[in-house]
Amino acid sequence: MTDLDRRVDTVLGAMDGEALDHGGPERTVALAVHGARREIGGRAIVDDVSFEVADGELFALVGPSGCGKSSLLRLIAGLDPAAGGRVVLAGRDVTTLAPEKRRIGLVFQDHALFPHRRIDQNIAFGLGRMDRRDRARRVEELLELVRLPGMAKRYPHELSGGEQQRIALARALAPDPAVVLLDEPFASLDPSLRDDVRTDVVAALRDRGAAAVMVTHERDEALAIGDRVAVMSAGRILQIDRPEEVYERPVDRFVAEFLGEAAFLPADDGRVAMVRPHDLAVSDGGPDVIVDRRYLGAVWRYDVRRADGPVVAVDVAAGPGDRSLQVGGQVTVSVAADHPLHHLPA
Amino acid sequence: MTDTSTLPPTLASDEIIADRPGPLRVPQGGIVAARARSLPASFAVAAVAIAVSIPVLVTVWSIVQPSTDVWAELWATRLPGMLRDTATLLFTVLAGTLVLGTALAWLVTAYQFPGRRLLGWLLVTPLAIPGYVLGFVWLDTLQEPLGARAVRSIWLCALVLTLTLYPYVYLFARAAFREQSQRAVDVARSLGCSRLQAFWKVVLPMARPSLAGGAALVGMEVLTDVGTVRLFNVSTVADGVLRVWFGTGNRNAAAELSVLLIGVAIVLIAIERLGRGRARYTQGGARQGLTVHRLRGVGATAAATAGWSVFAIAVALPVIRLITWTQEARRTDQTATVAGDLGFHLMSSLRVAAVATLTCLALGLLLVAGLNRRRASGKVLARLATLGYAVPGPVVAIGVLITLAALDRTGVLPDGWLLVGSFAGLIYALVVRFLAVAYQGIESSVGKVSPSVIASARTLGAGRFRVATRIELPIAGAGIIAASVLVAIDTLKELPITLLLRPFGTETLPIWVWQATSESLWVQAAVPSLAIVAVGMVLVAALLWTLEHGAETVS
Repeated sequence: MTDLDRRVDTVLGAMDGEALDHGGPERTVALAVHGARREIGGRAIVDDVSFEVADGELFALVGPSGCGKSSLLRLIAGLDPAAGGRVVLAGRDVTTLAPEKRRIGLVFQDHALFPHRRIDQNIAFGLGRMDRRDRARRVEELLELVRLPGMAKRYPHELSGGEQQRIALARALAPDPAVVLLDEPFASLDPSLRDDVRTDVVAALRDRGAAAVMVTHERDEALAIGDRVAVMSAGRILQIDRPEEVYERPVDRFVAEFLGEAAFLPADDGRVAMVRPHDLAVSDGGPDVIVDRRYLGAVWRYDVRRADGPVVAVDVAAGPGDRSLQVGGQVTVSVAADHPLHHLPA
Repeated sequence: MTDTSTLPPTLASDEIIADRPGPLRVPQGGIVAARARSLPASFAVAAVAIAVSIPVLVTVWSIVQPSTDVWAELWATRLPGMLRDTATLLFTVLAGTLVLGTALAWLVTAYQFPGRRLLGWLLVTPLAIPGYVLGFVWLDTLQEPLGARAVRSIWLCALVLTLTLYPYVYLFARAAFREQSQRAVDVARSLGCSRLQAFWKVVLPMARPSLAGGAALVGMEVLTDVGTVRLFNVSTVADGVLRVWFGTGNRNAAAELSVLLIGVAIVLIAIERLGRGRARYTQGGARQGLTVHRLRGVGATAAATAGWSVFAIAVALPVIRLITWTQEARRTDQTATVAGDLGFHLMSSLRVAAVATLTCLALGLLLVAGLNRRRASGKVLARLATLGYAVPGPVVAIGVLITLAALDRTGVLPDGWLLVGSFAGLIYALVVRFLAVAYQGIESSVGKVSPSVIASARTLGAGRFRVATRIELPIAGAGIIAASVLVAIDTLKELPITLLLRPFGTETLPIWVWQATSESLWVQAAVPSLAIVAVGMVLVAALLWTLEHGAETVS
């Protein structure tokens, strides 16, 4: 078990309902949010949100647009006032503290680099008073961290979008913040670029051991890079867990459907059983009808109307020479999961 | 000049954005794509650009054969003092307007306090009050407490000019602050800056090109001013040009002296350009505007007091004073000449302003449609056509006089026709001076229409004409009107060009003020002054309305 795992486990234990032991593990908590609330015009857009992020943990906050995830980030940063709750950064209650006193790093979708400052001046912006040579060394070190050495004397507009985003991260990391908050950091990037930049950014965060909260509306992104994933909707956090847990064992239908294609079969206990497309199989002939199909590269995805009404999605591994089923074909859908199906409230 | 430093207030930052290579290079349509492909159109555009630039070039050319004796005499007598006064006045007013304009713009953009919205509008109104009007009002008011001698000081003159010219900086700064993204401020704060530090280190530097643009306008106005400086006995170079002109009648000497002004103007613009370097000042991504901070209690009172005091000193009190004087003039006016004079002068002013504005608008549209600024020739022509705005009024007047006199001498005109001293000659000079305002405004408004919108319209079957009338003009319309209103305000207040070039029988309101104030007849000067202010206020209101309306259309 690595050190990181242990730390995450400590927090996870706390999240599972056990009271957090305030003696020992507290120093491993980089950020704790307790009952945070933000109101605009009397309406709660962040509603009783609580979670903790361990040192070195990458915490992904995912939800549909307008669910309040960016507002939550701004609240943590101190950019918007909280209507209730507490924000604790590295053991220090910062709820009423001005943003500049909190020690947080911020990375925005549009990277918000200062266009009138060179790259080195951007990165050094938060460094405070410092010997000139130390400052230059620090900047160079951060540029290497984000794999952009030698860019110090350029201006932001002379860099590509992906490079700008990595510089924004370097700038956020420069003053050694207690936590880095990233608001849809990759959303403005070209899809072809996004993976590379994402890999670099995650690597840089890991390298620094920085705790990070990343807001995204893309489930794949959240699942791919979060150590833990929080799913948010209408101002509330519905579930916090490891990516595979939230995906395979969602607390309700919303979470299930938000994180991926899902169908729900009636279960004996009055609840429903969730089936993901890969939990199902089709065989030729039968009462069910294929209504649509899409080739996704690794799999064929079939939408099949079951004889009893609902349409379910089924993935079938695709391969060369694969004889695919046609739209309109009669098939039988069956559960092929090698694990017990997850039950959740109907 | 096509650089942003001479743009009208509404448009500065847009122009900067337009410089940015856009991701889209869609073939364009309408006004933009009607870009002259036909020979006659190209010829017309080139003709306008050249006609408008000739007076300026002619003036500059005069320096090639300097009249040494005049220079020697000037250098020995008045010139050092003129240069000193010009420099002192220029830098004092620049500093004053930058501080006042920026501070007020920041106050009404970033803070919420009672009356903020109304104040935000009212703070633009000094634009309607010429310096020579505000000058004589305060001159008379302060004469008692300060004494007749002390009141005619360069510092009071600078104060008066600051109070009338700060709206240029204010409008530019406000537009720049509005376009900034709160995110840059957020990031700065997360990196340890307080609200005030973030303003100094991020907001202000990013607004710099716009502030410089406003300051450049202020600089031109100060260099151009002849009315205000004469009131306060400040002998600037522009004043010297007039004195040489009226005193010696030596056209060449006056022209050579004017070149000094062009020199100062070029130096100002160059300083700003060099200072900018490679840096950019606009952010990519969504501009959400800055978050407004609500002030309460003492803070709110202080903010409101500061804003309203400026309005009181620059607008409210002087207007009240003008009104009382006007009533006094009406009481003492037995023969009803004032009323008759007012109608006559007002009509003259309106005629000049209307014809000049419409001409600028028409030629501006022609240039925007006809010039392809991506081509080198287009850039050169655009620069030529807008040259006049970087050149102080007296210089334009003298250049136009020399040009027209030369034309008159050639005898190409029918017998008995003279351009010098004609209405057309006056309009020509005003167009030379103010065409840039119209051109820049139209260019940047039309440029705002997204290429993809035009592409969509064209693929939907709209021809160029339809795209121009149905898409571009409605979207760019507010900006085009705003630019025209700016030209109208400028021509309404214009003094030096009218003074030198007015035809017999064209006596505008500023001329009346000029004549009355040069004999210290404040009560008489009050009537035309009030008329200028009244018409000016209507135009400023129109300007503000189109600015607000335009913002809605574009977003």
